[in-house]
Amino acid sequence: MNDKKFKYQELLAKFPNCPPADYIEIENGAFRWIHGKDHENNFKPINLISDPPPRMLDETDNMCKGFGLSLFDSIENAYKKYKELYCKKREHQREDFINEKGRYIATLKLLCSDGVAGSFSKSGHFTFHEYESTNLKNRMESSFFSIFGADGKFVS
Amino acid sequence: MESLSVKNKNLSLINNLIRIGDLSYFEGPLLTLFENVINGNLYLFDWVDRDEKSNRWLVYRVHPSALLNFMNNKISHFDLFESVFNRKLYIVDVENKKLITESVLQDLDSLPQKYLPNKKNYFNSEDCQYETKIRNIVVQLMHRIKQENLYNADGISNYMLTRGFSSIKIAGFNKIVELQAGSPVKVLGTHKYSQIGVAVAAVNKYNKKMPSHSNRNFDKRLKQTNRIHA
Repeated sequence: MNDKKFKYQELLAKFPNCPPADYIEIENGAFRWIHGKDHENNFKPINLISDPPPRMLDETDNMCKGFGLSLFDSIENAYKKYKELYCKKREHQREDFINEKGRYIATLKLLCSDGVAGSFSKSGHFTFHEYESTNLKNRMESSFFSIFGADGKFVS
Repeated sequence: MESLSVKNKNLSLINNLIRIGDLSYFEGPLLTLFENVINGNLYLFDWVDRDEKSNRWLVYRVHPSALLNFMNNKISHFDLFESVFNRKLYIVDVENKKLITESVLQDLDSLPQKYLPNKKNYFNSEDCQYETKIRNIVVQLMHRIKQENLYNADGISNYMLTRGFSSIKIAGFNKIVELQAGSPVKVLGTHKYSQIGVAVAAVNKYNKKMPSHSNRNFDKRLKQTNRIHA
């Protein structure tokens, strides 16, 4: 593990091996669900968002990766996972899901100096811990992909 | 958040539950399996609602074989829910920064329609944390139940749990007997796993369709024929 300081370092310090030692710096394209250009929750870790409150059943849910950011390796995978999770939800939870996760996908250009990434899941999801000075808003392309069309349905 | 009709506070159950793992997890648990350390019964915590202060969990007991069928993608989350023991449901609202042990579990009087699981929601192993551990525990429980209960229940060797199953086999009849589609399958017995599931099709021992009102007679006949005691 490198000795660079992470964002939320004092919170990460409460967990052993956080971020995990096998997380590595990457220089890659990455994709994240966002609310729009300047929304305060666009790059806020799930455990730091209090409204809606994070889902926690016991102490084990208060884990290291809750202070990282969910990213995807491709726009297709980001879209696919969003759609899958949305469609599995009960009807009344779907609007909440949009309010929580946003309705757009942003394209980011990650640099090694931005932070460290965990391993990619089969669906291309990975957790990213930013370094203290990183501002991912600056790594975001100006145009976003809209997950829903003008008719409110998933774009095909 | 939906206002609910609740009955009693259940003060003991929640303290007896240990978490086995998450069947569905994305940025927090969505569907989590617990075991009652006293009797080995399995309970699901199913995230159903939230507001700005709390997350709401619907809690219900599931049979290990139904759970395994869900994990094998033979049945949906909705089907799994349909197999709930005794239709007994609990609800718990967990406030922000609190945990379930600091929250109150309550008996739910009636379930809002909107809280029924999505029929198209099937298990995805990628969203399951500790899948192998969960499967091992569920299989162990199935073996234990089979040994402790089924062989002692007057010859019931197999039974139906949800719409994903097609038959109830009763060794006393030495043939497959099936019940009316959608009807509850009730096998009366002194053991704790005596009430089970929902049927898919209705065929009696003469291989003719049974009318739905015949279920009560069937239960009666089943009780008499197999000497299963209420």
